[in-house]
Amino acid sequence: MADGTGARNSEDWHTWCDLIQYRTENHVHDPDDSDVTYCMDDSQAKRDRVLREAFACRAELVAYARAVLGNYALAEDAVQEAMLVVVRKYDQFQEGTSMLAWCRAIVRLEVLRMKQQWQKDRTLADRLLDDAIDAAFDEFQVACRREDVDSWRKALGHCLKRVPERGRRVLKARFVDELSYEQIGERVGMTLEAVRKALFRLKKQVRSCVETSLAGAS
Amino acid sequence: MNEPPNWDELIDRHLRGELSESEKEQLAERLDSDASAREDFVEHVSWDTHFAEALREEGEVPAETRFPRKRPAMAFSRTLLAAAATIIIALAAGLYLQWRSAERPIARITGLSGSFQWTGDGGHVYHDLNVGAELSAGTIEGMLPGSWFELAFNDGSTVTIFGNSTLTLSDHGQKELHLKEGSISSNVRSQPAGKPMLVRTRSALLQVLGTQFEVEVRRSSTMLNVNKGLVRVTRFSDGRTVDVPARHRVIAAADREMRPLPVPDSVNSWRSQLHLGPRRLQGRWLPATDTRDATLAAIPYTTPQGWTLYTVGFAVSVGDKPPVMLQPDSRLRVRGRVRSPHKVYVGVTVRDAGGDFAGRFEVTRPAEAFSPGQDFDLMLSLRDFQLDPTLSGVKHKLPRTPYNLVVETFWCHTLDKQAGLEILDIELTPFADRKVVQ
Repeated sequence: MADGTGARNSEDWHTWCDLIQYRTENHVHDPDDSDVTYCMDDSQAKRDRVLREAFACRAELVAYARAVLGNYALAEDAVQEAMLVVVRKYDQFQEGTSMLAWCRAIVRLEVLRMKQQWQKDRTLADRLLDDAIDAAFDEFQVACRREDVDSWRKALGHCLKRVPERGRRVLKARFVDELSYEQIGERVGMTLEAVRKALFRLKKQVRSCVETSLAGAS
Repeated sequence: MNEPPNWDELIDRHLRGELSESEKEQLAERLDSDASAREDFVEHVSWDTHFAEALREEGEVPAETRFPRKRPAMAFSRTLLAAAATIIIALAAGLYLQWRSAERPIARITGLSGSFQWTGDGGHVYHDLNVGAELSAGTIEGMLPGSWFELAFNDGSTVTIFGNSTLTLSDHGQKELHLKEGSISSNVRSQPAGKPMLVRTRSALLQVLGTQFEVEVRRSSTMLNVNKGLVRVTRFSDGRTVDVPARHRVIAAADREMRPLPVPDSVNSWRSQLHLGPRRLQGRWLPATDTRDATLAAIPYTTPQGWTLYTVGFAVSVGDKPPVMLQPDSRLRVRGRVRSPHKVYVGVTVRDAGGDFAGRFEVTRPAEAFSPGQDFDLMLSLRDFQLDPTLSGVKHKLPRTPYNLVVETFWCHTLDKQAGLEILDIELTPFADRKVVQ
């Protein structure tokens, strides 16, 4: 665990600190101050690392929560509550496992709590769909965007600026104000079918623009 | 992947809770039976969420460059070129007139205190704002929680902006305000027929003919408090409209009933609730851990004059909560800690019953009152609070004491030194209420 000089390598950290904690709690042996400080530093470092990685997955967690809740605001609330749990229970994260999967499991509990609160009469179709969505995310949402998120957002911002005014109003009505197709039609003076087509076309256009920008940058 | 034509739309509508039972079954069945559909679903949802977040952060997107539109090839004749030139000249003249209209003064500053940033005049940013300065269309941003800024339109209608608020204003024969965040109060003179003042927020549109009101905007809700007259509110999420009469308030949000209710009676006590999360705060919120309670840590702000404040702020009389009113015997208890001893300023920003700014009052505690790294517990009497010296230029317009005024914000700061100020709790109590002042 520790060599003769008192130095420890990184693999020894957790075991050594577990022992210090055990001894302290059980009054077996009072560790010297340097050991306590060392272990506190280790704990703080782990906390910082876990929180940093968890917050880097925020968008993915909101996506998952949206998929199950079908509501953006509730999804944000669920993730916010989950993050508070992460802050409290960071030490339960097991090194070497998936941060995203761990956080998603916490979000899942928050989502279920919200469903019990907001959707008391869940139908069979609701339950089947929830299970199917859980399975889909377990299978295919395996990593956070992390490093590339800035360039991705930058490209997206750039591409959004190229959307004509009316198109931006349609996108904003759908994505920011969460209006239905009918409401968007009333707001911008378009038929329902035109709104549907415009949304499909604009999203495709922006996505293609983002992918082209990122491909060019790389 | 070769998807049925409605697959994208099915996911899109699912993400907004718009699916029928049979559509939910259809989506579940598809996901259960097709791995590529599951992969596509996750990718679609992720993309949609990033897209929505980017649009929400983006706010108004300036029209810089546009996607080229496909047009049929055209052989230009001289006649067409001449017609095009005429149209271009007409458009240019229109744009010039519009630009002139945007540049002409529409309001002037009638009072300010704290730190503000004005963006106008074709995108120029100004910090050195003074009372009497004329403003064209543009955006005003409050940089500190205790800030206050009042402007008067040419017709005498006034708007007051509090704290960290962002407001864009214009007047092309019809006044239009965009309140992106924060709170304002306004006293509106009678507006021309058919051209009410419009106040737009993220979640609602307010139409004002002539009245006195306050608005507070959060990310997904708008709280309107009408003191006089009548304001019409339209909620964007479903287009529902209600008229809000005097002494009533309404909250426009997609997830709650939009019904005007009488303004509740004021209360004399209030307590911060940091354990509930970073709500209506200025500062760096730190969640509770096993060993300590949630705190709000001071964050730096350097004024254009070169002063650096390390400040925290708590919005108080906000949302659907009753207004909090100060009494002469009120006590303010402030608990927190500093990393290094330094003079600490504790203050309150107040407004009158009509929503107008009524001053900032503060008290200071010397560095000797604090021990490094130790929690402090200050019990402050409201009688010791003095008008902020930076308001001396307008003190003739302001009350001499904060008594019987409504609390807009409580704030604390240190000056020019990062003392590591963290606030654990702030509590306002009437003197007689001893049970909460232990």
